[in-house]
Amino acid sequence: MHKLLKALLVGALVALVVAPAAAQDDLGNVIIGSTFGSTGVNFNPITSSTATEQDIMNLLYPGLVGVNPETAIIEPNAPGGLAKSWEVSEDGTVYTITLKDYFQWSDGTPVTANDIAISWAAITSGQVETPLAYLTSYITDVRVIDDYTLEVTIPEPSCESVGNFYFQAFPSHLVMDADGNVDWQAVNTMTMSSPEDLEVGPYALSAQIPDQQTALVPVAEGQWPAEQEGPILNDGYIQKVVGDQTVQIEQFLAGEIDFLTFVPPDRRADIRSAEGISSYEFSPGDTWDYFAVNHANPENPQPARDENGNLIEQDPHPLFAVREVRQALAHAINMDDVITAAVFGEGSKMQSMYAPGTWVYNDEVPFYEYDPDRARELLAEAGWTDEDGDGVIECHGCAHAEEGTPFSFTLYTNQGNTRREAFGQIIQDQLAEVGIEVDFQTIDFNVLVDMLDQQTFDAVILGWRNSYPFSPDYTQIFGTSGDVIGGSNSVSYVSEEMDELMRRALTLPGCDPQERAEIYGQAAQLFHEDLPYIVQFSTNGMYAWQDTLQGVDPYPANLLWNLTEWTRTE
Amino acid sequence: MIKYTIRRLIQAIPIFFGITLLSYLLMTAAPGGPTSALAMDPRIPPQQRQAMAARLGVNDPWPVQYLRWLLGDDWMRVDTDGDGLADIARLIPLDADGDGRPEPAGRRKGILRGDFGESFFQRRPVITMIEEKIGPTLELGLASLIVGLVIGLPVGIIAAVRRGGWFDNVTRVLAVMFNAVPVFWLGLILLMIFSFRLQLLPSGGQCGLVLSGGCPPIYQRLEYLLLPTLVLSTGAIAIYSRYIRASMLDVIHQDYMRTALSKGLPGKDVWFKHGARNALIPLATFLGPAITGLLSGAVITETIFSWPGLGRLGVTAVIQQDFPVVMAVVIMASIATILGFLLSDILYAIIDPRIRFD
Repeated sequence: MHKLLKALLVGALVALVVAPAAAQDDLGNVIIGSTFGSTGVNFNPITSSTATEQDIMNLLYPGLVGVNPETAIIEPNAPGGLAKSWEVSEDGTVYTITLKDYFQWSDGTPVTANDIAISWAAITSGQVETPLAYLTSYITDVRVIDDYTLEVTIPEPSCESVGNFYFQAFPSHLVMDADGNVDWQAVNTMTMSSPEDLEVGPYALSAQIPDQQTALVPVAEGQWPAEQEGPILNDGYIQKVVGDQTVQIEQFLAGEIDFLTFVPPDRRADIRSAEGISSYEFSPGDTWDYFAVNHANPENPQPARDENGNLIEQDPHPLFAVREVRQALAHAINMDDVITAAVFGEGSKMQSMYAPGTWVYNDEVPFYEYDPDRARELLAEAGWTDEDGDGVIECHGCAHAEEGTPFSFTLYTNQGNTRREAFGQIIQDQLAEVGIEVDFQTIDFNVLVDMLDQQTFDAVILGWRNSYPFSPDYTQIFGTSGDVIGGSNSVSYVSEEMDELMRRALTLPGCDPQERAEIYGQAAQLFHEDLPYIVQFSTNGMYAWQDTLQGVDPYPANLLWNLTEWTRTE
Repeated sequence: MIKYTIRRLIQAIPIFFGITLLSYLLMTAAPGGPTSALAMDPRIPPQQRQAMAARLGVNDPWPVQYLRWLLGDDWMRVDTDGDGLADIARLIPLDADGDGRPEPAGRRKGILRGDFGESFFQRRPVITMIEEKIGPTLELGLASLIVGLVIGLPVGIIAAVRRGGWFDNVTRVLAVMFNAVPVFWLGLILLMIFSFRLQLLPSGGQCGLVLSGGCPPIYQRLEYLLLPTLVLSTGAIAIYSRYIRASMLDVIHQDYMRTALSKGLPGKDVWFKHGARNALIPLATFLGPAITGLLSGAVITETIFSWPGLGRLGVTAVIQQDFPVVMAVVIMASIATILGFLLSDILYAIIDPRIRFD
């Protein structure tokens, strides 16, 4: 045993010391990014479904439309987009899109309209399982006119329509025969994750180690239209997988990762004070959290409209159906405290669903001041007072609850989200001060989603992620069309006025941004009065990168738009 | 012994199917499903989410889902005219998503025909995913098992021989401490010290970043194995050492030990050759479950050290409700458990010739 132990220890030490180190690639001018969880493994733009894969695919294939990074608006001829220009028919439902003609696949085949239209054909074939299937709700048809012209038809005019033209180039020539027949089985099974697979550029896959890293190198010289789309100045990009956020931040501080697209609020002070690191902060960030209550009785959930589109009279929630009660809740919560506790002060209060900094933000909409006295007053006016002296108010002449019913409810959020847990604890404490008893529970995300889908909850803390580019159309969240089983308007906020404002802003002839912002401003004012959600805040965004990187030029919600032009020096 | 092993393996078959049946039942009974996360995307209307779930088959009754996993769906939806779409449906609807068209013909053969299915999210064969993970999992698991045994056994034996002495007391305190220390805390502390402060060891991953190729052979990247192995083996060292100490204390007082000592044999030979061999017998019961743990991965250690093992894969699959992947991991764990306990029994017989199963 003794000898065996010795031999093993000596063997291990010898192996460590004398084992030849693996040959290292020169990563001097290679940009190192990071992601959580796992590497992407499916880079087929028709079937891929994760954000990590999308990050890589954005560097392999152009999309149909691109975003102007400066304005964050989808525009013709924008970087990363195939569309050179487009024309809209008089009725606003047909987009004729002309494509740039200088992109090519790595086998030399030009990128044509077929490479975009095949995604639509896949969706409508019924033979491909694709996460893009939801686009059938927003697009009626995609038709190839010629090699570089496409026609996209939408069901009704919409100022946000191009945001749904969410197609990326796919090498159709690999699966389509001369008669236009497509081998859908091949489309289903192609993962396009090998260095031998085709790409357009600016990068090509070069190495992938599952759940470790994905490496990209610039495409062969001459393939990438540098003159039109900008040069590639670095020697590649590696997306490294990190299992844990604490480790990710420490790796960044140690210089092992070149940039972070999100810095958790509790570590921002470390980043700001670190030497050799630059940062860029912006508001709003890409997420916002809210506290909302169910407007309808959770024991009798109903959609907002019947089969004929007529409004159904909702069974009101015994506690929250009265607007003044919701306003009292808003006055009872100090959002400064929430932001301090939940995101260490790294957030922005929102008086409506639109955060400060968005192009539709209306600064004339007031905030509900933290005023517990005013909250008690409003509750008393609504028939909620504490007459038995137990510290909890009861119904005495309230509108929808039985006499003597205590103002007590359960508030849910998803387990493991420390930001929302802090938010909930403050709500629980501060509502107790005005005599409201909150049973705050954190539960499994899937259980919570089930309750939201079925609309069987009293109150919830959750959040939304802003789209990029930002879309202010919240028809599904606050419109009656979203108040269905499984819909996004799970709080059953029913307002024809909100429906109308959303519709007007979405279908405004000419889509003038200023006019649309005014309409969305009215929607924000209505939100403030009706309070579909009680209070909400946005977590500010922060990017950070090593000073060894040159060429970083961030915009809000868009750090990587010119990644090809970044360089790194040791 | 051979007869016994074969009998045990045959007995394992119903146990194996029982485990998979129960797992499937529990998995499908859990709230939500693989499309739950889509609820957070308001662009996706509820009917689309429903349709997606229907196409994945997760809305079918669980016995049908289980049957599909077991026997495949190439006989459930059959394409007779070669257009890629099914014309015949058995047990499941021809048009699951209600879009007015039949679904594509079934392609899955089921695990009884060696097809583990395809991940709902990664869209590739589950068996490929398992193959990718099994190597790193075994690397880390075996390394920590070896380190645990190599350090834990001598420590336990010496502690028993020197019972009540300083070595025994110190190792007892250390064993309790290491057994109590949370793995994530220990992992982060070691990373802080050895990777970020002293910069002596890598801060995670199975190998360094490369622009081409893959991870080099294990002997060229041992430094990546050191910290996760250390973290994973501390608990094992603590448990093995205390277990072998207790077992050794029983052995020490046996007549044959006294006889050996009184015959003048050196103490070292008596303790390690005669005592340790007998003290190891109860440890055989430990090795079976240890192998189970070894194959099912170490979730927290893998997460902190970004180690691409089965544990992380399994947990992610459970959270996402990626049924085919969950079931593949369950199968791995079931096989490991069944074989682990069988191995324990066989080891028992090898270590102690008095034990006969036939």
